Amino acid sequence: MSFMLNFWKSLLASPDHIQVVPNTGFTVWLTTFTAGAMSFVAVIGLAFSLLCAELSNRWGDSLKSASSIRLSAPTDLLEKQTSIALAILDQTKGVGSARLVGLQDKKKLLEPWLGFDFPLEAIEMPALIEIQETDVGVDYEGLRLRLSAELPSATLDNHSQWRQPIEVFAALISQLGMFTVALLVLSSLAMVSMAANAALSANIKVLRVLRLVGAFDAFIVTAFVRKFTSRVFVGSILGTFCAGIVLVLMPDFSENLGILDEVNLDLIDKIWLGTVPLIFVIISIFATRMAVKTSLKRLM
Amino acid sequence: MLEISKVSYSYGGNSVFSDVSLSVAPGSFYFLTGPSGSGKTTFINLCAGALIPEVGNIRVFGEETRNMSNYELSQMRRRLGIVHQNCEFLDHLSIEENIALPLTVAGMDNTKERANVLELMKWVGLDSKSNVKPQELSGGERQRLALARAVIMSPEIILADEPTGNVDWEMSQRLLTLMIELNKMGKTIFISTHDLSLIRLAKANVTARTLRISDLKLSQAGADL
Ligand SMILES: Nc1ncnc2c1ncn2[C@@H]1O[C@H](COP(=O)(O)OP(=O)(O)OP(=O)(O)O)[C@@H](O)[C@H]1O
Ligand SMILES: [Mg+2]
Repeated sequence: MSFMLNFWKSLLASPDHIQVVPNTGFTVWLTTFTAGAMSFVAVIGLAFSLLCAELSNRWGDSLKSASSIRLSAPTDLLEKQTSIALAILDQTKGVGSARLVGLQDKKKLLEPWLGFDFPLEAIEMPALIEIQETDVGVDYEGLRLRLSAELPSATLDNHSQWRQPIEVFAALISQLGMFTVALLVLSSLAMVSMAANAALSANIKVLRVLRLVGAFDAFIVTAFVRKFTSRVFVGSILGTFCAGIVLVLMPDFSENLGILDEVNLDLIDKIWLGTVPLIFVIISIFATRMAVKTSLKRLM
Repeated sequence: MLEISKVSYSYGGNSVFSDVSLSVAPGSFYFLTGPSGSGKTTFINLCAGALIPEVGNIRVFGEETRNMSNYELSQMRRRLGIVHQNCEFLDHLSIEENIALPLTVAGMDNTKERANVLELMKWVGLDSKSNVKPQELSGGERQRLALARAVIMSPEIILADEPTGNVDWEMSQRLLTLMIELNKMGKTIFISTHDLSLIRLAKANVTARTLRISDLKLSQAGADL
């Protein structure tokens, strides 16, 4: 712990007016560009993964609290059976509200298939009772048993066969996104390591000279880490910024498509995206430290 | 100050030294000579802690190099002025910044030491080139630069590996004069060279001892040379 503290202190306080590590032209741009591109992809990947998680929650939630009972019976018996069903629901724990779906609502539901002027009242239709759960939740198995005993014509549907695949799918996409981001972070680590190693082998003379004039290993490590991490940081900030702009422009498209409508990243998610440059800085510090220490050991 | 006892060293079976001992007293002036490939550079590197003897041990300022951590080695190097045979510098820094580099890495880069840098540049005759980059210097200028960088921390011992390797006689004399001046300030000087006339010239001005490497041994050369 105190080691980390000292390290950060030296990172902030070491003399900056003389750059002991040279700018090696090409690798500077390579490092900055790579960090930027990786950050961009990381932010986009993370954003999609978070959006999918959000979408899965939303679908799950809207279907979770709703269920329905369908009653099929001749028209003359239907009214009586409906009132029995409503009475049963009234006694069931966890039922917030139970409402008979009226003719107008049914028309509306079927309109896409049958057209708005279809004479629905002319055909025999099952009654539909819509149930809204409270937070307590409904014991569907109990309710189903009771309905089958007292009202065999009733069919209870709690949407589980709908809900599950959707939830599983959305969760899968979200997990896949996270996995991609994790892979990306790992490959960034590898890439920064490689870039640092390339820069070090170009600068092996710098290491020799610094050793010769009595520089402590910590000083050498700090000098390289600073140089490298500042490049990675600049690249990463740029990449994150560009990705942010892309994300801000996104909802305009999705509104027209009507798919991602109103699904937006909330503040916590945005903070998550903002940590991408920070993660890259940590990666860079870690990778450069390793690379410099290995080179110093080889120098002995 | 510098204690070498029963040291043997070889590069992968190629023996360079066997059972060599030497004790260097503070303020003394040594020349190390021997044919090319006899082990002069190896000897200097052993003394600087860059190489560790296989057998025997080397004590610098009373510490055994074998037991030093990297941190202690760096501390030791701040008290040693080392001039390598092939001088290396930070090519992206100016002459002045290169001379000041030991101060910079030691965090002693304040105004008082800055004055020493300017004085040193004058002393080695590079004051007109303070903003030039090292790769623009001639061989002799590079060696003077290396010497200036080696003495900026006012080290107690100066180890110079062929400091007159690629300079003409006049420049050799100038460099030797600088070394003699340092010795008169009380510094211990250890110079490897195969230039015998340089040794003769030195002996006319200071009490200098000459060591010769031959047959894996170190022997004191006579006054004749
Ligand atoms: N890194 C190394 N690996 C293997 N052998 C080496 C290495 N460095 C030196 N040698 C061998 O050790 C012997 C001594 O080399 P050294 O450089 O110490 O000689 P030198 O006296 O300084 O020669 P010169 O006058 O040419 O500078 C030589 O035979 C050389 O080939
Ligand atoms: Mg040599």
